[in-house]
Amino acid sequence: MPYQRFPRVEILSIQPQEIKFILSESDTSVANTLRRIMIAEVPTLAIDLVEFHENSTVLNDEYIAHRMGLIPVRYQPAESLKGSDCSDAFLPHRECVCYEHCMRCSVEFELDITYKVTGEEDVLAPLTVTSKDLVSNNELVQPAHFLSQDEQDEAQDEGVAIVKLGPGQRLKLKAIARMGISKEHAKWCPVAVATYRFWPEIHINDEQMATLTLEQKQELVDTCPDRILELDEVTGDIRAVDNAWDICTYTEDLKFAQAAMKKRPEDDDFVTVTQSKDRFIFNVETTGAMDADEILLSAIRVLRNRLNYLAQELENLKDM
Amino acid sequence: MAYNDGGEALPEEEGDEVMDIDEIPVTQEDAWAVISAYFEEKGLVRQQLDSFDEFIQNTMQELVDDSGDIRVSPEIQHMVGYDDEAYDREQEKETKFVFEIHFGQVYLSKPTTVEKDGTITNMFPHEARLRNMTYSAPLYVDVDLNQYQVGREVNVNDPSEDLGEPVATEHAKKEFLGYVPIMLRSLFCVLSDKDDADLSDLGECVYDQGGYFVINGSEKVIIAQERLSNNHVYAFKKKQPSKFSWVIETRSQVENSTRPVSTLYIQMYHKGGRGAIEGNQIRSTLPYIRTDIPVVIIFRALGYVADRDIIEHVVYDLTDGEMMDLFRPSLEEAFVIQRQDVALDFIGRRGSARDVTKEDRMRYAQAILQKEVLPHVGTEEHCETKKGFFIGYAVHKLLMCRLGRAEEDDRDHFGKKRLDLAGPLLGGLFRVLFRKLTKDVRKHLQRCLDEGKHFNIGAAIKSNHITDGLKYSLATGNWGDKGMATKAGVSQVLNRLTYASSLSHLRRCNTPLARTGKQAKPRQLHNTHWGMVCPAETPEGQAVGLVKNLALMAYITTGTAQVPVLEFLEEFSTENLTDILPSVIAEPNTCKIFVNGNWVGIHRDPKALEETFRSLRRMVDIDAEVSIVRDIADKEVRIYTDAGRICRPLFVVQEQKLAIKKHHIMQLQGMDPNEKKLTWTDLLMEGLVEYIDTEEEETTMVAMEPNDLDSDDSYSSTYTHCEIHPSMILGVCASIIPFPDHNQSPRNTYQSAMGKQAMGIYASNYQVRMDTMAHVLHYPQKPLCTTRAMEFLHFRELPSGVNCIVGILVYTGYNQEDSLILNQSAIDRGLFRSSYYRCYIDQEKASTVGTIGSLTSELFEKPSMDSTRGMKHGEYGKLDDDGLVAPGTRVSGDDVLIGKTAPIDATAGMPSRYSKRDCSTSMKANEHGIVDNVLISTTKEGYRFTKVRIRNVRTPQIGDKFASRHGQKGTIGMTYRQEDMPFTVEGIVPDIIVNPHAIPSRMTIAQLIECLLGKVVVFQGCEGDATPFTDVTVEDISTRLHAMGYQRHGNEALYQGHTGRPLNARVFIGPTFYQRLKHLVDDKVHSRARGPVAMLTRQPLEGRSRDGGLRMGEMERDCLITHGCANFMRDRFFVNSDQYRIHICERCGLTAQANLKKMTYECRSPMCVGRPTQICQVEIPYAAKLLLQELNSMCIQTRIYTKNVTTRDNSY
Repeated sequence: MPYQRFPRVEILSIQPQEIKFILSESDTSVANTLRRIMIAEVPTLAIDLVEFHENSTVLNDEYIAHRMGLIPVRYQPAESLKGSDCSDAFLPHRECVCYEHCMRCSVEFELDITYKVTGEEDVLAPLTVTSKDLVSNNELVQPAHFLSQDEQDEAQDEGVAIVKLGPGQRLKLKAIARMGISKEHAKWCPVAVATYRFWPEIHINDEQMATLTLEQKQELVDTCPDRILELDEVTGDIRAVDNAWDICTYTEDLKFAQAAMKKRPEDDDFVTVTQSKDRFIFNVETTGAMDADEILLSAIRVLRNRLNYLAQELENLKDM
Repeated sequence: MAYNDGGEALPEEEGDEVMDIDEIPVTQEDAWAVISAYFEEKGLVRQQLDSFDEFIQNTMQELVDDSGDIRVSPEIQHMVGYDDEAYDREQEKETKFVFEIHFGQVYLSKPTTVEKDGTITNMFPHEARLRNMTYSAPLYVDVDLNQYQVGREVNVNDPSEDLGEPVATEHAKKEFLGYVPIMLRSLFCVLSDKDDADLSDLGECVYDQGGYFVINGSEKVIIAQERLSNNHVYAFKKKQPSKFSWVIETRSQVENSTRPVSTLYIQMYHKGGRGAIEGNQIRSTLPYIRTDIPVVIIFRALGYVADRDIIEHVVYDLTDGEMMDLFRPSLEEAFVIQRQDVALDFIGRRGSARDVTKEDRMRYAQAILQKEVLPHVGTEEHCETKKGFFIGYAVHKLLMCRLGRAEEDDRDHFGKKRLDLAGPLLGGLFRVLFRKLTKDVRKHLQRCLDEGKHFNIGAAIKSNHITDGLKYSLATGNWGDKGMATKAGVSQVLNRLTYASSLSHLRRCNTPLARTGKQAKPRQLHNTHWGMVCPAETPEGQAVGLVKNLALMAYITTGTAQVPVLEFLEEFSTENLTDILPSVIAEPNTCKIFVNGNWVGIHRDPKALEETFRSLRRMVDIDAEVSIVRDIADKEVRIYTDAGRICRPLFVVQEQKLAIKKHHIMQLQGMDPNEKKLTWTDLLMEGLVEYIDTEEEETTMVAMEPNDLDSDDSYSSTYTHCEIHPSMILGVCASIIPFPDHNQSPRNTYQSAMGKQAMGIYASNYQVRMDTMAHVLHYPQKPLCTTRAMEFLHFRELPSGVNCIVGILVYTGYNQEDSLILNQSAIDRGLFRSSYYRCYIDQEKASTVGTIGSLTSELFEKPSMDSTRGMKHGEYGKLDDDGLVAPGTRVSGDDVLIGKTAPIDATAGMPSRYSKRDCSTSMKANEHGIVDNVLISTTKEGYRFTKVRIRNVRTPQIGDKFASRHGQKGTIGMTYRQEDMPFTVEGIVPDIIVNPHAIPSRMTIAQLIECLLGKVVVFQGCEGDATPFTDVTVEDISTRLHAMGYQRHGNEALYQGHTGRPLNARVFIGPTFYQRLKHLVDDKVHSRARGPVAMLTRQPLEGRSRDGGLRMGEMERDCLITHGCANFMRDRFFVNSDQYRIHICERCGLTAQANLKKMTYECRSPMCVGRPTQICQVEIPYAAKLLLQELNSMCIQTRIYTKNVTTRDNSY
């Protein structure tokens, strides 16, 4: 296989809700494929059908159903602590043989909340119905209330708010979660952010730099809003900051600023920032439906399946 | 006198501390405390409420008082063959009885309604809205019935006749006059004193401001009507084709009178006209007089006989030779008439009463001069002096203009305009209706007396005159009596699309001018509109500039009595016109005093008068809305107290310092809990702010901001006032635009129109309202970039849009020509989702058929196939047994929502198995949704009545319309999922992608600044201040953004979503507030293959709602002709339209009878009957067949002759 490369992944930080890693010795197409699959094709569970039994709240049925759909639903296999790929545990509901839905292709949640008034309260504050009030029929599948403990500590509500009830109001419903991918609807998207940036290559032309005064250097440093450059107080040299790769936003300010400082337009640049073609810094934050590393693995699995399928189809073509 | 010494009484000890605070200058920022106080007290529809309250509290009583008493005496009845002696006895009597009806005090109760069973209950506006009732209160009046015995010669019709002591009196207390619709939140509305909790309990929106009526369940606004002010002397120059060089016009009307405006014209002829007229003479047009009368003759008729007298009244300064010369031709023209009686006769001869005695003619002329000429000066006797002075003044103005010493009057000056609001408009209507009512009472009384019946006042008053008359005008907008040609569109249905549109509608004003007139002047923005009328908010097209919207702080006077002003003037040594010599006027320090356009006298020290007046007004000893104008050049002081003047508050400036001080501001803000919180009224009372109307504004020097006052390079050293805040010149809709001062002006106008179509939350009680159509945005957000004025518009509480991340770039080409790319994932997550509500209404009406068995009226029920005729093809299965759909049912096109049947008259026509006819209501064909709510109630008449509300969630899709707040509208051209959208290094994905070509030619710089500020503010977690005319600069915003680590101009590096490669250019991206407009594709998509046709022509119907066709018009036809595609033409205009087949007799060319079943063909025309002929079948348009038949009916025979033509293709 010509030009075969051996991509490397270097994990910078990993938490259940966020992962940051560097993909190197690869190509833009690979990086983008990974990103696109993480966003659009990793299967997850999400509430897809809501059956209302009673709804006397201020929001109408469709409104609440839509809100319920957006609650992240987490599948956590037995004896695992991770929100994982649910495609092994469930069938896509269109492929399931059952009539409407069954345990194999769906999870059922029930919710029944009434704001009862005893008549002794002074102030009737609204009651918030949250994802905590959803009762699942599969204990491996639960709504993801919060991403982290920190988030839970900061939050006002018990979970993801669905609707607020006034005195005497009632909400009773049955919700069915199914497996799907975000290509169909964004509620099946496991990630909040899945993005990459190109590795910056900062080159400082010392020869040219020597022609600048200290003030001009300071101006160059200040002109970058992302603050990737710093001025060495002692030597008076400009250098890239250590974490420049992490903060660089590729603004063109530097280019314009130094164009004005050049003695002749054709002079070399003092500092150039270019985007590396084969090194990508990935950043993936989850919605809570899956753990970040699981999303990455799942995405790779999806990609591999797709490639296998393509290879298979090519084989089939050959046979014809 | 007690003016101006209040300040010295201040305690000295506190001086030091107070001084410290007050040395801090009051800044423009502090002005917002004042503005808040203003809106806290007034709200945004105060003009409507004040005007209506004035009508209820004063005008109505005045109108009843002015109507005069009804006096009737019985006519002696002569009955044939019946007691002739009694008749003679009556005839011989010396005295007669006179009955008098006097209307006294009127009373208005709280709004009530009478149900069918007779119970009277209090009404609340929400109930009126739901049950299609009128929110009105009963009006009662005290009536006195007096009986007099007077001499036979007494004229009962003369109201001034003294009838002596009544011989019998009767008092009727609180007789019912009729129902008066009540404006919501006015003093007599039940909501006026309710707090927010009570309001929501009553089903009202807590943010609703009132100012409208509820008539038959629909909310009606009275639009302010603009008119030219009365009693003002206008001078206009005329161009050559006219006979005149200058014309003076005075539209004279007595305040609050029914009499139509009587306009006095005084014209000066061109020099060297035709015939005997030598030129420059002055004549006047009098009412009822056919020809123009030389003005000097009018003077003589008024009693000014001597030339010198007349000249003194006209020229004033007898040493002014130039003016004397100019007046000479007029004097010479009237040389032949030198006596008053001759002058009167001269006028009388030219009136309508000709062939009468000289005495009658003179009396006639006298009456015209007294009653018809300048009625505002006076209509009683002995007004000649005043009228002489007034005419003299008018002629003087004419001469001044002709001599080039005075300018022509500006017709479009806003100071000469008055706005008629609900009060005056309803007053006019009430006056007419009350007169009609009294006329009926008189007729009734006369009949009772003549027929010797007992008179009952309750039976005589026909209350439905007032009830129905007011309701008719408010419901239809036709102001005036039914059947009369009147102003249309005065009352309109309140726009409830979004909260801002309702507010703006309540502050609208209309100029009743012909829309077709291409005259540009009245449509243009005038200097005097500053601060009174919004410069941006006006519709486009035919009504541009004619429909205006009030600026935020504009206030319209309700009118105050002029008596206190006249008393003040008298006390302050004004010399009455009747007491002075005309020669005094020319003296250098005298000054003419006008009150409401009427010349009341002169004053020798106008400066002192003006100052005293102002200081009194600043203490509200004289009403704050009274204005005084001192015209130094013309030596006049004009005082106005009338209603409908437009004014606005300004800071008072004394000695280059604002009268308002820092401690006032702190007191306004309520910083010190120990001190009383100041209110707007306090500010007025202390003379810190005052109302200045458009005319008075001309005599002031207004600083733009407090900084201008004491700065070294200040423009003036004689400032009298200071603007409260320049952004207050804008109206409701323009106040929502961020940085409007950075936009091209038409863009602000476009946004002002578009803001009214934006979806939002139009009222907080939308769930309990049953509006015919409503859009509610699901996740509205308050904008990141707000203006200060939004606080008063409740735009934060009831917003109409969403803050979207907007990228301005070209991406894939699906955002060309003002289309947008939207992020499908964002739509999935709820971006711009909205609910659409539509209400269907029906009621059981009384049947026209009459009583058949138990069926007396229409009935809500589920119609059954066996007994009901004319059932619709829709689905009846969704109806419950009560004939209504149940909430929660999914319904779609043509489903029946309300089942209703009407009984058929079984006695008429043939017996049939049907006893009922179907009158059900079904859904609109191309809509669907879920039944949200069903209301069932009864109407006032006791009929059952229902409203069914359908709900439908609308997610954005390709073709839906969106707009930023800068007149940048566009439709969705494509939606892309998140992974296909471009992304920044941080993973930010735009929600909307706008094409950059939308920006340069439209110059909506403010949109870019909004985006930039939005970006800053989003990272800082605060609100951005986008108020116009403040010190915020782009440089400041950029610097803040740069400091936060972003490119200073908002540009970012983006990666292409499909390929993942970086985009070459940096892209401007950031949050911008976008609105979803009500134009949705789902309401517009339409196509048709076959479908319904019109009955008459058999051509396809028009319009989407009728499933009509798309018209191939003349221009499209021309295209086809030029393309030469004749077959396609035939297909479009014939085959797919109204193709029809007839049979023609080849012998006579007329239509023949063809029976295709029996295969018999014959021609029955006399020419062919019984003869062998050939019948041929032709295809013609049905419209052509119709034409032939119509021609036949006019005795024109059209014959069609056919010929065999061999064509290459006969296939069709």
